[in-house]
Amino acid sequence: MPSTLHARRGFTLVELLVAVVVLTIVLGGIYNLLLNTQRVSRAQAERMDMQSNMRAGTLIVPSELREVGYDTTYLPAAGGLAGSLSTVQSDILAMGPTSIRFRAVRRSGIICAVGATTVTVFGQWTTVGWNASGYRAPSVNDDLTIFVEGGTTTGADDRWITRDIIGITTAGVNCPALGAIGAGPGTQFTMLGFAGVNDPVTSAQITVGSPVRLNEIMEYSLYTDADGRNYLGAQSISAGGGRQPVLGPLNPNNGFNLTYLDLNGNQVACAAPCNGGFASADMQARRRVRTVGVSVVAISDENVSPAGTGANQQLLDSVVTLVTLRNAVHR
Amino acid sequence: MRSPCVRNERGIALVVAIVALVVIGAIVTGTFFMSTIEQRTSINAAYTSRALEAAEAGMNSAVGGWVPVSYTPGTDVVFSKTQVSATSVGDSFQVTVSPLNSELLLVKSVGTSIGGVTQTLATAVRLNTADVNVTAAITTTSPINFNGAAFVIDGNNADPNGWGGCPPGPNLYAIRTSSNNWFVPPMQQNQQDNVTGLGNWPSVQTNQNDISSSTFENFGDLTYNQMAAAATIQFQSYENGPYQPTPTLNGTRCNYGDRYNWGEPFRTAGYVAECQNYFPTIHAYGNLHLNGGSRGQGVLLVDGNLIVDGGFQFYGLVIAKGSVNLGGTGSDGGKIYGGLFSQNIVINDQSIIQGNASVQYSNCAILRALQGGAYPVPLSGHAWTQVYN
Repeated sequence: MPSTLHARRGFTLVELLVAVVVLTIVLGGIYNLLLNTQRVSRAQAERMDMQSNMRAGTLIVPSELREVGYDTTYLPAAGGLAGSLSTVQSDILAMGPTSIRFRAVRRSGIICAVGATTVTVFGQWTTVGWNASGYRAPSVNDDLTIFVEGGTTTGADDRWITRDIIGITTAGVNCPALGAIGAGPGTQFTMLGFAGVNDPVTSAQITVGSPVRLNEIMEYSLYTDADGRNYLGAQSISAGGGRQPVLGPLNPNNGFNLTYLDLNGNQVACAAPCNGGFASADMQARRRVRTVGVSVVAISDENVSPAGTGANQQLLDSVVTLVTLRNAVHR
Repeated sequence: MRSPCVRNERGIALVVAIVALVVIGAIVTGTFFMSTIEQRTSINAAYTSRALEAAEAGMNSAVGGWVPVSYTPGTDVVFSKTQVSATSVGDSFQVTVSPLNSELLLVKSVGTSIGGVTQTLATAVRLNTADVNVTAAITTTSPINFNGAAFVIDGNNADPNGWGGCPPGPNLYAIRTSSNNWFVPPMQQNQQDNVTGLGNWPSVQTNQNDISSSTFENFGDLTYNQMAAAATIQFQSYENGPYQPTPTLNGTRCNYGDRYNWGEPFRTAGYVAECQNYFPTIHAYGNLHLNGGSRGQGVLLVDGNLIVDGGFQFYGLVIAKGSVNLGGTGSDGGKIYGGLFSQNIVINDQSIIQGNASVQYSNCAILRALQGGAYPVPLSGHAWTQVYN
């Protein structure tokens, strides 16, 4: 038995200490590796969130602003003509460095019938086709921009007018065939009338086959939410809804910045909110805008360590894009 | 007896290593998964942008490179391109032009990028058409020099042979002029017999004060210079001819790129059907001579003098700032179906009509020519729109 006990010797203290030290070093290394990997992973996820934010910023805002155009008011008493600069009413209703309010196009269509205070447009919300385009159903909170042909032998009096909608009817509304557009269901929009304060338009000046645009007045702005962070918010002014965050968090100082450029690329100066009405200096400034520069500076949701080591910090990234207002370039 | 002891001396290194590998693997896999999703999102966004660019390229090329065909309500005109530019391999667009009424058209462009993403844009355009007040087969400011008795000047409306869908038109005078005399003496009885149309024989109105320089300059919203600038076929001042325009094909389609292709006015056997709807506007900065038994249609604007003989036939509207010399014998007589404006802006300048030349008023030929010569103007303010289907 003694010989057996002798054969089952234990570890010496030195051996144990060496083993513990080696194990500690190995485990420490593995822990560091895990920790760094996790930090890098978190940082990467934050960076992707930021880039996703910025991408949304470069997709949503330009797609909304792209179709901004203008109406033209005919002023016979003043001797003005359609298209004269003093009568151009921009779709931009207010503008500042961190916010913009404008008419955003929600649907487009073609007129199949004109009444004393109504226009009927091809298609209904469920209709799919080039003559009934849109991504949401029309609402009485929207307004309608209508092309006015005026005299058919001249284009000098052609113009667009925008009128509030007071009624929408689809039940039993049908459109006859027009050219390549087949007969089918339609949508009738009722307004108080076509004549405006500054423009005596009559229904006889609106022709079948003319295009219309359905608009929602939207405002995009940088704001501070209840969580204390800054976001780009979208608010439907015409529908009266609250402000909804579109993307963020953004840098509180310059997270969402807008610049307004004229035909020559010079910045249009106008003190915010630059929302003066008809024939005001503000309107004169707004109608000069041809391009909008959109800058988005996103920050990470949390402080992270980009390299996996070192102190945590807030990530920051930015993107800048220029949006040409497609409908403001033809005058 | 050692073996049990050895079995009891198990380590934790392997376990720790496996756990570490699992944790690291999970983190790496998660990151890789998120990156893949992000990459796909980015690629889709890029494809969407490319499709939008392709659609916009299609729309701009359709409006900017307007094909001067006669657009008929109810009939869409479609053309496409499979590669938008040298750097956009695989991207394509298809454009459909749909007449909405007699003035407005919808230009719809569907852009498709590689990856199959499509975006659709549309723009509403108004056809800017010259409003030409044609009141006679020949409108002029000077007496005309007639030679021979085989010519024909007819103000009675006649549709070109084989043209369908022509609206009714009025009969007009054969000649209206602001001059005291409509011919250069001597003028024989049998010559005057060939001047027919509205009113008493011969069908002529002289001393017409409504015919002035403005008659040859202003056409509704357009001026002569604007029409000339918008012409799709231009001849420089040194390019005087004689030319023999003839309709030609590019493969199976009308060759719009051929400056000597002025459309196909004929509807008889052997005609080039693909070009029958092609009505270009042709502008010559100087004099122009046309002959060779050839043909064309559209709007012909000549800053200088025009000579038409050798059997050349033109269908549509001819406006010459200088004089017009229509001649040729037998079947070689130069012929104009539609209307002729000859301003004779040079002092003592006279138009000459001789041989078997003819000018036949045709309301239909003029309307088609003006419609084909119209060019699109986007409806300023709200023409451009994105289409969601």
